Formats: sequence, C-alpha cells, structure tokens
Amino acid sequence: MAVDVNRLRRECVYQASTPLEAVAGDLAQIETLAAAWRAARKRLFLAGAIEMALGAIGLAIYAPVGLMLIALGACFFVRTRSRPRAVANGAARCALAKSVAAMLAHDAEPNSPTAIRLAFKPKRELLSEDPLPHRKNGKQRLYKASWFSIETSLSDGTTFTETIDDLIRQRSFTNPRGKSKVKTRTHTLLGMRFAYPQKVYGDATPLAARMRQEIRLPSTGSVRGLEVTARIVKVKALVTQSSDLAPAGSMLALGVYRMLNLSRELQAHKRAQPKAGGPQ
Amino acid sequence: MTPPLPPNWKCPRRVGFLFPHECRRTTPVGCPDCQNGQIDDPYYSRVDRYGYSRYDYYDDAYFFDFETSYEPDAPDAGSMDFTEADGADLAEPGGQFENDMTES
Repeated sequence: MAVDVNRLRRECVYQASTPLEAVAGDLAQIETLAAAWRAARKRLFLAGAIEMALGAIGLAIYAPVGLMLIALGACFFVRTRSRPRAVANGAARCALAKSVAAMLAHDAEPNSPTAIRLAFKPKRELLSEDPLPHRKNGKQRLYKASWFSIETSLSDGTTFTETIDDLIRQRSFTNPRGKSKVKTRTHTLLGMRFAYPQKVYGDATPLAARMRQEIRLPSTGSVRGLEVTARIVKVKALVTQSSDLAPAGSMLALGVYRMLNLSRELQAHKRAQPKAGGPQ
Repeated sequence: MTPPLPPNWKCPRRVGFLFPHECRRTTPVGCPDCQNGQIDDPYYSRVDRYGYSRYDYYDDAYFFDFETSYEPDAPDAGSMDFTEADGADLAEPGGQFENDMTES
C-alpha cells in the first residue's frame, strides 16, 4: 500500500490497515521521505536567508532589485511549508514504529491486517492546569499527546495493541528579571494490551505478581501499572529517555510473554493430567 | 550444497520472538532464523532478547509457586502406589530411634 503523501503533508499523520509486511514498507518509505524533506527544508532556508541578505544590500544600491530579491527569499521560506517540520524531524518516531513492526513480524499472523496510526504532530490534550507556587505568574500544565498506536493479531490467537503517549509538563513563569520563561519536560507512556486466548494460555491471573518481577526495563523506564485478567493482560510503563523507547517496548512484551508462555505450559500440563490418571 | 527437499516438506524447527511457533517456510535456504539449517532451535538460540539469556527456561520454583500439584521431576501418578518394599518399611519403622533418649 502506498503512503498517502498528501495526508502526511496536510495532517502529518500516517494511518493504515494493511498486513504487517506492507506497514514495514510504508514506514521505510516515510523514513526516506522525512530525510529528504529535512534536507530540502535546510536548503530552502539557506537559500531564503541568502536572498533576504542580498535583498537588504540590494535595497541600498537599487531598490527594485532589492525588493525582488526579498520577495524571492520569502518565496523560498513559503515553499518549506509543503515539507512539514514535524515530519521532517520525525525520523526517530518512524524508526520506533519500524522497530515495533519488526518485533511483531516474528510472531504476527501472516496477512492479517495491522491497524497503525503514527502522528508526527499530535494534538495535545490538557490534563490539568495548576498554579506553580513560589514563582511569579507561575503555572503548570500537564498535557497528553497520543502519537502512536498499532493493533495486530499474533499467530497464537492473541490480539496485541500498543499505544505510545507523550506526557508533557509545561511550566511557565516570570523570572526576577521580568522575562517570561517556559520550561517543558516530556516523558513517554508505553501501553500494551494482550487479549490472549484462554484456550491456549489458560488463566494467567495467578501469574500477575510474578509477571511484574519478570519485566525488565532500561534504567530510564519503570512499570506503572499491570492488570491481568482471565482474558487480557494490560501493562503500562513510563520511559524518561526517548532513545530507550524501542528496547523498553520489546522488553515489556518479552516480560509479559515469558509468563504467558509459562501459563501455557501449566495449562498443557493440566490438560495432560486427567489423561495420566485416566482409565487404564 | 543443500540436498533437495521432499515435496510437502515441513520445517520441524521452532521459531518466534515472544513465543515459540512452527516455521512456515518451505525451505531452510535463505532462512534468517535457522540460517540455512545451521541452527536446530532458532527460538531458543535468539540473542536479541535484551536481558533474557534463557528466555525459554523456568526453574522448578516457577512451577511450585503456581501449580503446587505440578512436580516436573516427580514420577507419574500411576507409579505413586505403594509397593511391597514400602510395606516392609512400614512394618519395621525403625522404632529404636524414638526410644533412644540419648539422641537429641
């Protein structure tokens, strides 16, 4: 499936429902496109800045030429808008989406549709706004920006869903010199949901505590929630460094599946028991 | 050179990253998992599972914790019946031990 480049330009969003192999191809295409747009934006900005500078000099020498050069410079700046900055600088997000797709490719049901959404400029949702004590005009706002989701069927019958949200803390205040300051800190929330088939894995509920211990994350990540029911495992982790997102995602899934695999062994043993004790 | 495979050949190896499953390839040639048939158990042999060096291995504690009735090394339930030798032990329980007050 070809990437909808117009939508990518307009909304900075890639959304598709297609087999995982096609998703991987699309993401590779977007990564190449992002790199090309980044290089083009750099060139256009440089050309625009040079034209503007020459135009300023030209104004002093012969005004019509100066104005023409300034107009040409402005034209270069306007042309950068067709290559949105969010996508051009979004190679890291694209690489992360690729790594998730690559991890799932080992175990996904072939040809089953994968629903994916990758937003390079997600809408911020205001979670809270509080005054910041001990600061003049101090305010603290917390936002959530959901920028990635993927859902696919794995070959064991599990439906896997992953979401990634940025949690943004924005503090604004006026410093003693009277300048307005805004400080932003971003952490990332990884959410995973495994709707597993009870027929294969039995009930994994008794393994919940052990599952939490089994999940190993990079030092910048921590498990923030785990819920295990007879049909679903939900897990959330907070990662403070974006470069650790890809390993944290794989490690989270590995930790959950290590216990699901154990649950399957126990389930298989339970099934075998009545046979062993059955009629001779 | 790889010998020709019989028709309807099915790969017997386990593959997968999160869980083991059957390999769907029709030939080991060019397979990134078994590397042209060089690796017997690609699922077990993966080295890209970050901190998990023995992902497929669970020591007995895991089984005892969650399935008290499951004892991997115990004999089958069928062989748990008493034998003549067990009966002899019961008949001579070594009562001297309980009567010897010099022992602690």
